[in-house]
Amino acid sequence: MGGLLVGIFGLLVLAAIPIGFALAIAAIVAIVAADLPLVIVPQQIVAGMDSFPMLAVPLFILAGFLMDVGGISRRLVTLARTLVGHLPGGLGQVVVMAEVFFSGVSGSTSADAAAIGGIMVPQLTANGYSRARATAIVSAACGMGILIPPAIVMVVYGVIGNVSIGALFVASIVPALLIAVGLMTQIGWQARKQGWPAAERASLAEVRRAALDAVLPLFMIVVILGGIRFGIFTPTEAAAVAVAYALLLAGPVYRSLTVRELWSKVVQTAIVSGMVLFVVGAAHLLGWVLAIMQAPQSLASSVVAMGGGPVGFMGLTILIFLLLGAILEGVPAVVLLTPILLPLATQLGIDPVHFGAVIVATQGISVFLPPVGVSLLVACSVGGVEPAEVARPLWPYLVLMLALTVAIALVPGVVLWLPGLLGY
Amino acid sequence: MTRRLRALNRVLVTLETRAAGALVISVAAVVLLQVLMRYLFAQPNPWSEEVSRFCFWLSLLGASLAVEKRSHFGFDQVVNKLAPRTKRAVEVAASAVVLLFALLLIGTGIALMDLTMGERSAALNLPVALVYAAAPVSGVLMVIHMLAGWADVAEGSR
Repeated sequence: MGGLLVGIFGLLVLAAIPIGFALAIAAIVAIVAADLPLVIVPQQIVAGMDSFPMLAVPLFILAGFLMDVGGISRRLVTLARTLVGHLPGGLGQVVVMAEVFFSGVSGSTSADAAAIGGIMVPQLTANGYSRARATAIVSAACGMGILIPPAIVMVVYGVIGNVSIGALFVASIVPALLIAVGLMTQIGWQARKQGWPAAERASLAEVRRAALDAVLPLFMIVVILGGIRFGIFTPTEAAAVAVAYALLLAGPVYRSLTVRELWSKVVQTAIVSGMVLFVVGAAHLLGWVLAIMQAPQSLASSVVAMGGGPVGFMGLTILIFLLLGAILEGVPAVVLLTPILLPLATQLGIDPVHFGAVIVATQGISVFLPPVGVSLLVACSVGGVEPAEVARPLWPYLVLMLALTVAIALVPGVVLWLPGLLGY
Repeated sequence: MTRRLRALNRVLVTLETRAAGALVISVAAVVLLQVLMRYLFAQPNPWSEEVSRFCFWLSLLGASLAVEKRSHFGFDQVVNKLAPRTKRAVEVAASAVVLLFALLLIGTGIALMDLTMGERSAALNLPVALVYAAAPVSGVLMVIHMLAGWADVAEGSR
């Protein structure tokens, strides 16, 4: 029955039925086959969405949209350029650094790809980078940026796995910086070999001005992470505070938000939240059905029978999330698999926070995996190129990111050191 | 007939957009209020946690709007490679399946409201059935959006 369900789901997805509907319909088939009451359908969909922590999802989406208007992304790009623009391959490195900053104020990868790609692709191409190369760099940077808190997948993983969202946010900072430095080194090395242009070094006064300009947006990261760590507010409340902060910045401080624009961001938030939360609810329904059929147990025993211990299990997890994330987007993969894989991970002695960081890092790669990754398609439409062209320059970056993700999976200390230091 | 359907759809989309937007704003306001109440008045807000239950409305209205805008996460790369005729057939079959789901959401949603008719929520004392009402309502909206979408397609191909 489990295999049949997977087959039905796969068929529905291939027929271009949206993921959320495909999940729900597969569940309904099983419910009908098992002769269970159909009232379970709306009941379990509600149960999947109905929790106070999950409210952080629409709020972080709104905060990200508000940060995107009001020239905040432009300020962050300027700061990154004054810092690293003069290095070999400087403009490429600026993309990565700007994404480190911007992702700290936004929670969604597609929003990042649109914001950073929208500013940087024209600048890169004006400086002799090909469109495909420019889009590849933006994609790699945004794949890394998924690890920078706040991130919606982390909220979803935290709610479903009952893992501290604050700890997850802090735990992914070091892995994110590791991957960012890795990408910047790789770009620098490519630039030196192929002679890409660099910008002039910014004067100290320029750096200071850019930093002052960016200090207010960047302070939001401190508010969110500090507020959660010191128990001033819960992650959901932090998300609402982030909305208020972004509104203050875009409105009275930078005077660049009109009422009309605010309303369009609010409506956009409702639609994107509907898309994300509907998938969460539908995946919760299917998860419930699978649990009734004892699918997790049988899957668990077959995974245990495969042996391999924690290392083999981590490898398997990375592989599964790489494949599923490319087709499904990260959120549904997390909703479906966390209840099955997390108990196994804990049994094998893997820390839930460590496990979560590895899953999120893998997701950053999978959503940009050519030729189908969902976010790759967004980046390509921003960059104005075909996915097939981007694949060639993108692969080396993805390989590096995967290698670093494997390293993060093998060395728990990289993930757990900072939360330990901060007392999580 | 199709003209009326599309006019009805336009009105519904407007209403739906306003309601969903208002819900986003109220969720942000209520959660913010909870923080302020706790620190300024040292008084926790007993009903704000219950707001998450009504967030179901936000999710489902957003989901039905996403049906209208065709922005749900999906994987259309295989279908796009098919010959135009086969592609058309698969698209029709796929939307028929989604339509069936929406109809099922209406029926089961009403049944669930029926089951929970007597229950009231703990803090706000509102009928729990009001939460579940989002399921049939968004089911109806999805059906109308899809039918109107089909009417558009039929018009275009004529």
